Amino acid sequence: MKSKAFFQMLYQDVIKFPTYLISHPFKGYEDFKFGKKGKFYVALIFLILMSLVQIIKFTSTGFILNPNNPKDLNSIKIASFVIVPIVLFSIANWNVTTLFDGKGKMKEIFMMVCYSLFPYIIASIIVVIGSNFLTLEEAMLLDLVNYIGILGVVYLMFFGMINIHEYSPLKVIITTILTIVAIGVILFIALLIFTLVKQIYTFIYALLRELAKRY
Amino acid sequence: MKKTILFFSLLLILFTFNYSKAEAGYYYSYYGTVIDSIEPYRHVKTITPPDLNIQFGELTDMFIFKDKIYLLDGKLNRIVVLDENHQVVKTYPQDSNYDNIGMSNPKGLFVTDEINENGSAITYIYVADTGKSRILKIRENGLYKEFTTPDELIFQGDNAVAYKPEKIAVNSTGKMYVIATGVYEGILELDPDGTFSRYVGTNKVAISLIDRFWMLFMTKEQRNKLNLYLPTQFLNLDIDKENFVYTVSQTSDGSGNDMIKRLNTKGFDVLTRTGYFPPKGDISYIWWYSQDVPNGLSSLVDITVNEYGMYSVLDVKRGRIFTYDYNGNLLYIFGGNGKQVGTFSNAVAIQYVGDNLYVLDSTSNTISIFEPTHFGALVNQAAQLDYLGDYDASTEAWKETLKYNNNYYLAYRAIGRTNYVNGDYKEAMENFKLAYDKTNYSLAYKEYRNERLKQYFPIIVVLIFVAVGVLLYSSVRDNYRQSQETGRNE
Repeated sequence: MKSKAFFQMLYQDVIKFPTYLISHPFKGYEDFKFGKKGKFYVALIFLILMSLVQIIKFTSTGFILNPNNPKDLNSIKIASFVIVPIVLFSIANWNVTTLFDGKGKMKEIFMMVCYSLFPYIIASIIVVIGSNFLTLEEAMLLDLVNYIGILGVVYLMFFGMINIHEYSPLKVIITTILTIVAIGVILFIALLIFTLVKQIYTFIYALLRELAKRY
Repeated sequence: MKKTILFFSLLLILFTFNYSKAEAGYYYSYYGTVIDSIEPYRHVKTITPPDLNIQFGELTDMFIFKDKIYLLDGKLNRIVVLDENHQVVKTYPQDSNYDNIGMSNPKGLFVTDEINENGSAITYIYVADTGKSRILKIRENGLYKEFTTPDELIFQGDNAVAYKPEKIAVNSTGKMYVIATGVYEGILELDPDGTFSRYVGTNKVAISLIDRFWMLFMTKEQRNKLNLYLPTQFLNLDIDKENFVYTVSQTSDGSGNDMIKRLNTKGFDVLTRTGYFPPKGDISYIWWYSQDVPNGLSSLVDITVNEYGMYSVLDVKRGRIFTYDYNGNLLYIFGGNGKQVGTFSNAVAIQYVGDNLYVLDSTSNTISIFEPTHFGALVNQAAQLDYLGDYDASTEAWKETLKYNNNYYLAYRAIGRTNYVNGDYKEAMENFKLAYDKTNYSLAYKEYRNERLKQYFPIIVVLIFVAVGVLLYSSVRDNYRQSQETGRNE
């Protein structure tokens, strides 16, 4: 009985609420923010699912549509290509929106972005399965599914930002552009720190060698 | 004691074998990675100047016509003709006083024959006499005709370009195709009487995105001071039996996909590029500078076509020869730079003689002769049968090649093609998968799926009917029960 309740909860949180979000974005995100319907563990599940789906897409897309060399598979690389941009976006968006009177917390932004992946995860699963049964001419259908998935992500993120930050649509667009700029700045600083640390490391290493050779 | 004797005898056996020459080739996989292959051509002979008892300055071009090898010496300014036994039979100019032929730094050579009024074929040698700005047409007994600077605008006036013909090819109607230095409009097409007719096959000008970006901020004066963006020049050419001109040039956009061209009579590029990669020599190479190995794209310097639409290109940078079939599929790669016999240091010319390939090296002034190995001969045979359209026979040959090289994609593709025609769609799918031929795999899969659908269609229909029936029955039953219950309540 306990396990049944667990699975019911999982169904409610992972499938039913995200679908409700798609069909009722305003009411859904109100519940998400104030009704405590958005849950952190679900966000993490979506993040992991997204990474997994991307890895499966690399390996198991049908022969006709798979341009990847199976020898090049690097699951950590694929997963980090999913996780790093999302984390970066959350940080950058929080940075920008706190300056622009945004009401969202960083945790909420991160959860919102992860919840927005839901349509793309579903679309990717359809694409992976479908690609094993379709010919080259019919592959356009899968492209369509893929685009719908991407559109779904954009749609959910757009309404998510409106509701979480209590913004007007125009402000969302402006802050999104600024977020992209902020991501660029963060990456630049990260690169700078990285090279500086490397230089310090080589400097200390050279110093130690010098000391070791003299004494 | 016994063991030590055994050990040393084994060592002796090991060292008595001769490992002097490693015969291993390579090939490119579908993903562009290098994979092992078997050597397709074997070096059989090198013709060296001491063999011929003659001295060469610097051989710049070679042409083989009717088993005779014509060599062009760009430094001593003469043509040397070898017979089929590789002995010198003739030189032009025949005597040094005969100064009509007196060439200066000639670079291009072409030999063909014309049938005269009496019905006999006369061999003519065409020479691009670069230093003296002319083309020579030489007959058995000496100079026949001389074509000087063509009557074209760019060779006249104040900004005239000096006419420097470098390479020449002549088609079956006697039209001459001339590559000249500093002429960026294309290949000069000259009529048999030497008058200029037109340009064919102009290369494109490519300006990189970065350059375009900076040009946005430049004033007109600054832009005028820039170097001119010129199209890349053609480097060499050959003509096939259908009068298509095959050319090699440097890349114009950095991709190398346009280095090899096949120009039709209108001057359009009609080369088929249906292979996994467009014909361009090496596909994977290092692009950064290195002291130890040459970097960057292959630099193709010569091309030769045989009568089955196969063409081989010569890469001077790495001394390799790449052979493609008429569809642009890479057939095999061989050769290399080096100091050993059978390797090159500055290969400048290549030509088919039957299936054999002759390569001229201008540094050592030698001609290396390569003959197909068993594998190479099979591939040649298969490609030739494909060209002639005899697909059944060609598939047999392709199958044979698999015994020598398991990684040979083209063979799997050919077998899959035959399977597909015979209706063995499942096997065709397997072979197309091994060949990484996605287009044909898709076609075969379509047929296979249709077959499967036909097979299971009755079952699917029955299942649907059963499901609909069960649903109908249950809903009718529920309705009936409900109505009965409500009826009872009333």
